Amino acid sequence: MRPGRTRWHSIGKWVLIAVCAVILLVLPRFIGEYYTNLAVKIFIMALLACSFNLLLGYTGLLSFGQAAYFAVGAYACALLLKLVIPNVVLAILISVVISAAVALVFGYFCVRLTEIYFAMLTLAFGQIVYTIAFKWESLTGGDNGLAGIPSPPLNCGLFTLDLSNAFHYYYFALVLISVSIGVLYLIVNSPFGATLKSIRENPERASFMGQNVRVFQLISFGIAGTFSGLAGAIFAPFEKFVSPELTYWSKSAEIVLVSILGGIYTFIGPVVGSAVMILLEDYISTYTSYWSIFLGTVLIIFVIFMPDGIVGRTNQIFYKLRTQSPIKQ
Amino acid sequence: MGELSNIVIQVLNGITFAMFLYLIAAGLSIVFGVINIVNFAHGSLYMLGAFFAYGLVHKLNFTGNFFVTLIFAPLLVGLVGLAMEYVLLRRIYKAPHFLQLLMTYGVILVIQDVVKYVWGGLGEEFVKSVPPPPFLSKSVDILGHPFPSYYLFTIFCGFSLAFFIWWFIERSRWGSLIRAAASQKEMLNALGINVKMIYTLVFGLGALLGGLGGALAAPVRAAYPGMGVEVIVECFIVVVVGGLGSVQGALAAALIIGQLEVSGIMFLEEFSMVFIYLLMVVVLLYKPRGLFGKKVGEY
Amino acid sequence: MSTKKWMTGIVALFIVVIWAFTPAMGKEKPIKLGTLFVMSGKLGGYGKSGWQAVQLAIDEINESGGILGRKMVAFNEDEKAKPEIGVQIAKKYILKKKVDFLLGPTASSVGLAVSDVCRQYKKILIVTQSATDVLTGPQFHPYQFSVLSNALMQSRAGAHYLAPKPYKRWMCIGPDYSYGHSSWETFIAKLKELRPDVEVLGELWPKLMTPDFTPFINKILEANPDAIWSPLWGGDTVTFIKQALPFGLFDKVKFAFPVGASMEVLIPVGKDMPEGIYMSARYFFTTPEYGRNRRFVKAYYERFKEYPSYMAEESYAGVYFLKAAIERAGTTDTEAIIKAVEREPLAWETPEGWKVMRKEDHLAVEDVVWGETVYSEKYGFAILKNIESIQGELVVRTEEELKEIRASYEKRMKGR
Repeated sequence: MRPGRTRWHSIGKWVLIAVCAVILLVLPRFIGEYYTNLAVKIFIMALLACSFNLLLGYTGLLSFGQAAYFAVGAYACALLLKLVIPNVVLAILISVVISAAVALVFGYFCVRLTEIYFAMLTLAFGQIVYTIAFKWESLTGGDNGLAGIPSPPLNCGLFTLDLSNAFHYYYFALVLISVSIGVLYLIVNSPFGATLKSIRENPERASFMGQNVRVFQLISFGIAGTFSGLAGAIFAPFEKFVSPELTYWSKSAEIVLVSILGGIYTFIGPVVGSAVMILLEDYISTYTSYWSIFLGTVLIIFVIFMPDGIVGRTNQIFYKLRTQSPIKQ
Repeated sequence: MGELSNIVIQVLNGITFAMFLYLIAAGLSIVFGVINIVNFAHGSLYMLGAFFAYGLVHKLNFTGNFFVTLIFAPLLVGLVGLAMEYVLLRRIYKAPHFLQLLMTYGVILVIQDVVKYVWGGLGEEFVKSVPPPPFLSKSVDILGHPFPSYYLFTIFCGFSLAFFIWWFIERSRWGSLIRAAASQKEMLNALGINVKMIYTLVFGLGALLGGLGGALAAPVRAAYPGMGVEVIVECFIVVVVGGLGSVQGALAAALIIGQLEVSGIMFLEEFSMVFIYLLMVVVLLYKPRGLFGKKVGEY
Repeated sequence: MSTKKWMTGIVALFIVVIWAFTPAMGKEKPIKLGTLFVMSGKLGGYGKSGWQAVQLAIDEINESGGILGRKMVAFNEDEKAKPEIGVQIAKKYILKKKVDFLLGPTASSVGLAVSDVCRQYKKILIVTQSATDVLTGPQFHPYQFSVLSNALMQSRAGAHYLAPKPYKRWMCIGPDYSYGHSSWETFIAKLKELRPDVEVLGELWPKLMTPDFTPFINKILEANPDAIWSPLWGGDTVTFIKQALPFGLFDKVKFAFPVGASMEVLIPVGKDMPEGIYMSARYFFTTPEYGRNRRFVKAYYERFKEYPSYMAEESYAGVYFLKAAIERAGTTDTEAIIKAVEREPLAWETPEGWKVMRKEDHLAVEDVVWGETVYSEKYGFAILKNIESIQGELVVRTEEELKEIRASYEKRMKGR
């Protein structure tokens, strides 16, 4: 590794992050309430997709029921805020713990399986959660869901955030979610993350090298479930409405979709995928009710020409540009 | 109407339910067993079978000959399958399963909107209905209890199909080619046999079977755009519980699931939504490869 | 990139931003209506009729001079029966498209979610398809108006219609979700009130959009009731009837479908529809026979090549309600309209007759139509005969019930 290139590379990355941070901080001023709203949705989806990708991109496990943990977090937060304590921070914390617990329980069974069987079992658990949300009317409101979730103000010491205000919620979500994504980034770049990658590449070899593959997979599953639950807990007071659709397999499919679209073998891929999908859908659905055929065609073309995802492809392009540059280090 | 007749009817109901599942799942199972591709769009092929049946009956006035529809609708779907394989799927055989899932999901979306456009125009009802042939729309008396003759016909079709598939794959010459393509494709290539074409034909066959399932189901169920998506999850469950790649497994799984659903509805209605998933959980935990699944790699 | 290019880019961006944020200047702005319907899946037919009817109503209104001299323009998006999407669309309409009013949606759960958004942003929602009676009950708030007879009214009307008939042993088969359950509960409670000697043999709850009803059909045959109340609707009714026919079920048991008489059911079943099944609809296109309805049916048929179902008529009526409300208030301001409508009951003309919007629960008091099926050669599908109209006043919530609703609304608002 030539020293000059490394330094430039890491400075470049930090500059990019700083620029993004500034843009995100001032964005609400320029885009109005509706798009600020949409931005929060993108943040939540980005966190959800990143947590999912810990399993797929880094551990090699396709979870087809990740929405279940999102929904558990959302419902838990909704119920806590509505019935128990009107304190957002506490509600989120407790919801996260609950989702983590559920993920560990389901994960314990799921990691005994591989490949498509694993995926189908995660799907089954997701649908079981759906059934519970649907049928346990007295707790979850059944198929009508829970409406009117309060967003009580948050006292941060120096100032108070009025969480029913879209702009305030934007900053609240931005802080929480960027920190979470940062934590996930640290996890995947840690020795733990390295072990996960080796398991992804070749589980047999990893086990021969003495790694307890199942334990690592379970921990990964638990972490993914925790952050998915966090995304859900942030979702509930924002949307002010939760319903069983949040845990239906089509929601899980959405998560899979945006992650693959963005590129599962890069960290930032799912984030980009979330933003692109949500913005695209918002734009296209205004003009036509034939959104499905559009998305379907995009997916087909995508798999044929850009299987590494948007970020993967852009990385390839940059790499090509760099190696063609006349200035060689 | 004694106890015995009730039980007999219940068992027959379970078998009918199973046959509908099997008719759809068989195609998926074959495709997975031979080509090792996860075809999420199989449910859409089922839907096309139902809609082609509707189209043939209503628009081209094929009424009066139900069996003709039953032959032509699946053939059309088979053609669609061939096209799909040739144009799209053969590019992703080597891709990881999740990419295959993604592309076939894209195909579902495209087919869904195409169906909505073609059959959902002005003056068209969203839900389509195909009438059953007159001689099959009455019921037959079994031990004093009425049982629709169409269902008996379905059971007959299902078992005949199972037999035909078994014979075709295990006993016929074509079948041995297919089995060879599934496990020894390099050898076959070396022998000068066009494996690619075998794959295409097998996929077409799978599509045809899916379409057949749709055409058979149309007279007793409603056809609407989006029915493919609802049926595909059940289909996958049947195939996974049976064991990927095993057509007998699919039959066994379908029979178990069919009986479970029917008995469950009779006795434990509250949770009927969830039976099929609980069953999958239980089966997968005891037999991680499904009932008859082949080992793909263990660690 | 050179500095010049950067500068051009920034200036261009600046211009675009300024242009996007400048308010539209020019002639009278049109009144904007944002509609949400289910346009896909098994329920897609309802959304399709609803949107078609809205377009028809708006074109008629615009041709005759608009509302307060302003034209009306409508947008439509597919809510896909998912509350998350419904909320997104509602916010898009309110914040981005700056609609003045919202109309729809189809699914009850979406209705509840969207209604709450309207309450938050103080925009009026005209409910034309969601049948949940929760909106005019426990979840009431003044920013919505229901023009359709809700599930409660349908059930009570059914009880009034069926009580005089000689059926004592009842069962129920309905879709397993809140609408199905509350439809049955309301019906049987009222029926028992009117006819204390009825006996309930059992209840069956297939999941929504079940492909196979045979086990349930067998259970019914086993229990052998006199009559069955069935809140099954849309594609489910079609599938159920098709599967029950070979069993000869309809010869043995009388069926009552409170929302069965819709085009989405009658047309697919076609001439297979058995005669004499009790069906109800919020509106049926063959009645009333006179002018307004006949003009509506004719205009709808000419334009869309199909007869209007009640989903279409209710949405049509919804748009005309909005017109009447705006005209009474003299403005499109939300609070003014609410006050104007609540001042005294607002009556307006719709194809099914005159409807009255009352202030207590923002519900249109309308009659419920029940009849028996009979195949019609002329139309190619079954229509209703022996039609009876159950008076709206009989089946809406009573004074005491309304007082409770208002009280609970006040309490909920304080609690925020």
